[in-house]
Amino acid sequence: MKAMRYRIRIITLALVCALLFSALFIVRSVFLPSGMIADHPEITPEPSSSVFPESTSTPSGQWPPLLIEDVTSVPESFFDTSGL
Amino acid sequence: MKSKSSRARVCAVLLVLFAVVFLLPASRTGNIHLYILSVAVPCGILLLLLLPAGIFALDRPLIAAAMSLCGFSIMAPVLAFPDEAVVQGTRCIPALFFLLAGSVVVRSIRFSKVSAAITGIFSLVMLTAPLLFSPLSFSLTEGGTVLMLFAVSVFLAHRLRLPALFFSLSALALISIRQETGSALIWAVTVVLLFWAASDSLFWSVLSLILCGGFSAAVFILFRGDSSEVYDSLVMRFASMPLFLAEWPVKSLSSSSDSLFILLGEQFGLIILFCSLLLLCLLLIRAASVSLHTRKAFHASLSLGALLLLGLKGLLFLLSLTGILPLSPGSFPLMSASIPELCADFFMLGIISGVSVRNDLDLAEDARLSMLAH
Repeated sequence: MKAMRYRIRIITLALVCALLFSALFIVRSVFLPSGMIADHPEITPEPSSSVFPESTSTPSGQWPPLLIEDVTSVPESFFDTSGL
Repeated sequence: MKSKSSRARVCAVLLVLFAVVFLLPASRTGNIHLYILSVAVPCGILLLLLLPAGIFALDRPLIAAAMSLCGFSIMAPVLAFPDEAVVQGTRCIPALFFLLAGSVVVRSIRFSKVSAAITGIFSLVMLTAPLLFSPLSFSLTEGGTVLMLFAVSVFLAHRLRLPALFFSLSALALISIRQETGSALIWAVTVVLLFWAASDSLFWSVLSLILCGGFSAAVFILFRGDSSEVYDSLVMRFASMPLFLAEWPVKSLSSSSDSLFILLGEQFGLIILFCSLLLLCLLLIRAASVSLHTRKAFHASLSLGALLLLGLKGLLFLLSLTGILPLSPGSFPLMSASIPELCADFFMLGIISGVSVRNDLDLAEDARLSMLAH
């Protein structure tokens, strides 16, 4: 009986510690990055007006669609880095 | 005197808490059922804490912790699904009878080897029934394992390890055939730890570990599901939980069929969730102290088995909820929405309470003998 009591103590301690440790995993899952985004759905990538002019952003704050014509019509002087 | 007054204070806080929790949404929604619950739940807790002291002499701290968890399970859907709270309240009523039944069985029935064998066979029949009668809508696994615990404890107390191992493995096989991986794992770990604690022989401990461990590992590998999607959705659900109380009106992400533990977190916040976890830990510690003070190996094995079944159920629930184990989370102990599961959980509590009563009776007998000696 004495050995059994000793083992009951060990089992209970291990079980309670495991339960408390698994509670820590819940805390961890709350503070995961995906969880933090889910907590603030209002956070969406919004273009900053200082880099992009007001006219290029859509009213909903979404990125404007990328047009191939715009890329091809970039002037040659844009790629000139001699002045840097 | 001091412990009595502190006990009364804890009870008063519990009663006020449950009355307020049901009264606030009742006053906002005007739901008559919630008004009834705000009276019925505190009165039920008070009655159970007062009456069994005189009639069944149940262990009060154990019952208080269990009733609080039960109250939490009624409280969980009260803000989003008030009618579901009433249904959960009615589910708890038959479970309370099983609490008393468990206590009476342990304190009054003396188990012999023959009665243990009969109990084991009856438990195997219970575990086989869902395989034979497929339209059976409710699960008998929990009840079957609790009865099997009686048989295994008697055999271990009489040092009959071979029958104990035979019945344990038969139960494990029957649970595994039904692909209830979680229940199979809980039962396998319980048996291995019971063998380790109750049998003095290292050979039998290792044999049970190899057989039950190998069997449950095979079941786990064969029948485990892909829980990655479940895990992702649960992480999002935990992240959206408030720290304390959701804003009114409550917008629930859950359906009424979701786990009551998750619902409790969404409606009342993470703090209440951790309180329920702490209550389970307190309950386990109390159960351990009861099994430490027993004089008979049978009672020690029985209360340890009940402790293990309840504790491992909670642990498995949390591990599968956090995605560590790829299993579908079942239900938190004493917070189940299934009546057979609730009844089995309360029966296990009754077993622990019954063992506590036996301890008190042994102490009283000692005192009487010492008085006679003087």
